[in-house]
Amino acid sequence: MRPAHIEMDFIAPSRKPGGVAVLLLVVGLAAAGWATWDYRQTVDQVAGLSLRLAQATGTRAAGSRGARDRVVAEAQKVALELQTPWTAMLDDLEAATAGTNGDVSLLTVEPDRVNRKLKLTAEARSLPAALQYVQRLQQNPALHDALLESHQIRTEVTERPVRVQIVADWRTIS
Amino acid sequence: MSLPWRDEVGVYLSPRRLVMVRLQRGLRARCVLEACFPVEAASPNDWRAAVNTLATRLAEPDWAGAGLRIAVADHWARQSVVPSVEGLERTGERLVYARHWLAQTYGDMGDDWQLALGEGLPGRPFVASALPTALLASLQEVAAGARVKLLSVKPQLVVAYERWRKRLPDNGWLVTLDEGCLSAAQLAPHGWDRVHTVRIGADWSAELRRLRTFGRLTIGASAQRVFVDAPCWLRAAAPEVYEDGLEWLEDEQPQRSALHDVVRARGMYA
Repeated sequence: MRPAHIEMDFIAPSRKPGGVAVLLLVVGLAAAGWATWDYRQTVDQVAGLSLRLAQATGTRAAGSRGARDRVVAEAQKVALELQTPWTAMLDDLEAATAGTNGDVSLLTVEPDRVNRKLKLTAEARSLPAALQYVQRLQQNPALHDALLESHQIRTEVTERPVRVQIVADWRTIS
Repeated sequence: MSLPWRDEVGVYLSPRRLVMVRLQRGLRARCVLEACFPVEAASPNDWRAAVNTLATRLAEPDWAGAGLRIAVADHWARQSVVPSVEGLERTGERLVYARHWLAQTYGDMGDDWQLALGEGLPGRPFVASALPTALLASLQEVAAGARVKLLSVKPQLVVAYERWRKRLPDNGWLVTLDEGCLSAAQLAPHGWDRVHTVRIGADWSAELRRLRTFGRLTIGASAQRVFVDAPCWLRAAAPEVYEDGLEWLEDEQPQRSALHDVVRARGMYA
C-alpha cells in the first residue's frame, strides 16, 4: 500500500481561473441573466394579472355596492311610502277644502318624505279665507303644525286671488 | 495562468550545485535541456550564492520564457511532523500550532521563516516545512527579474517523496542525500510519521545506520526498508552501504513533470 499524497507548496496555487472555469462562469452568468429576465417577466405578468384582477373585483364590488345602495334606497323609499298615511291625509285635505265652500282651491300637494312634511299650494279668494283654511288643516288628525309659509296676491287677475304655500307635518301610522 | 503548453524549468537549488532542466510541454512533455552549474557558497547555510547563480542562468535565452519550479535543498529547510489536534481545522490555526511545534525543535523562528503545511489526510499528523523568508523573497525577485512565473517552491525531501511515492511502501524510510545533508522521512499510510534532517560528513552511511537503529528502537519494528534518493557520486563514495540492504531510487527516464525530472537530473549530476 502506498503512503498518502502530501500536498505542500510555498507558492500558493494560482487563483486565476482556467479556460473551463471561465467558460462555466460565462454559461453560469448567461443562465443567471436568463433566469433574472424570466423572473422579471413573470413578476410583471403576475403584477399585470393582479392589477386586472383587482380592477375586475373592484368594479364588481363597486357595482354590487351601488346596486345594494340603490336597493336600500328603494326599500327605504317604499318603506316611507308605506309609512305615509296617504288615505287619511287626502281625506283630511278633501274635508278641509270642501269646508271652505269653494273659497279655497288646492293646486298641488308635494310630500317631503324624509322630513315627513307636506307642502301644499292653494289659491284662496281672499287672505282671511286662506288663513281659515290653514286653521282647518291644523285640526285634522293626520296633519299637524300646519303653517302658512308664504302668500302672494295675484294682482294680474281681476278677482285678485291669494296664492298660499302651506307646510304641515304628518303623523306616522303606528 | 500557466498555459498547458508553456515550457517549464525545473531547478534544484543547493549550496554546491544548481541543477536545471527544461521541459517542453505539450501532449507529451519532453526534456529539451538539462544542465548542472557549480555554486560557490561561503557555507552550507548560504543560499544567496545559489540564488545569484540561478538569476544569472535565467537571464540566458536557453532558460527564458518558462514557468519556474524549484526544489530547495534540505540544508535550508526545517521540517517536522506535527501531531493532529482535534478541532484544529482552519489553516491559520494549524500554521500557528505548527510554528509553535517547530519552535520546540529549532527554537523561535519569528518572521524569518515562512511555513507551509502538507495537506494530508484530515485528523492525522501533518507535515510542516519552513524556509527562510528572505530566500523565498529572493526567488520571487529573481523570477520577476527574469520575467518568468514562479510556479512552485518545495523542499527537496517533499519533491523526492512526490516523485517516488508510487514506488514506496507505507512503512520504512525515504532518505534524500546531498553533500553535507541527510533528510529522512519515516513512511506511514497517512504520509510521514516523523522526519529528520541532519548535517553529515563524508561518511553519511554511519548516520544512516544510526537512523535505522533509532527507527527499530522507537517503533519496535524489525529491520525496515530504506529507500535512498541520492546523487550517483554519493553512492559511489560509500559502496559498503550496498551491503546494508538499502534500496536506491533511480530512474534515468525523463519525467513529465519539471520537478520530477529535476529529481532525475539531480541524481545524475548533483
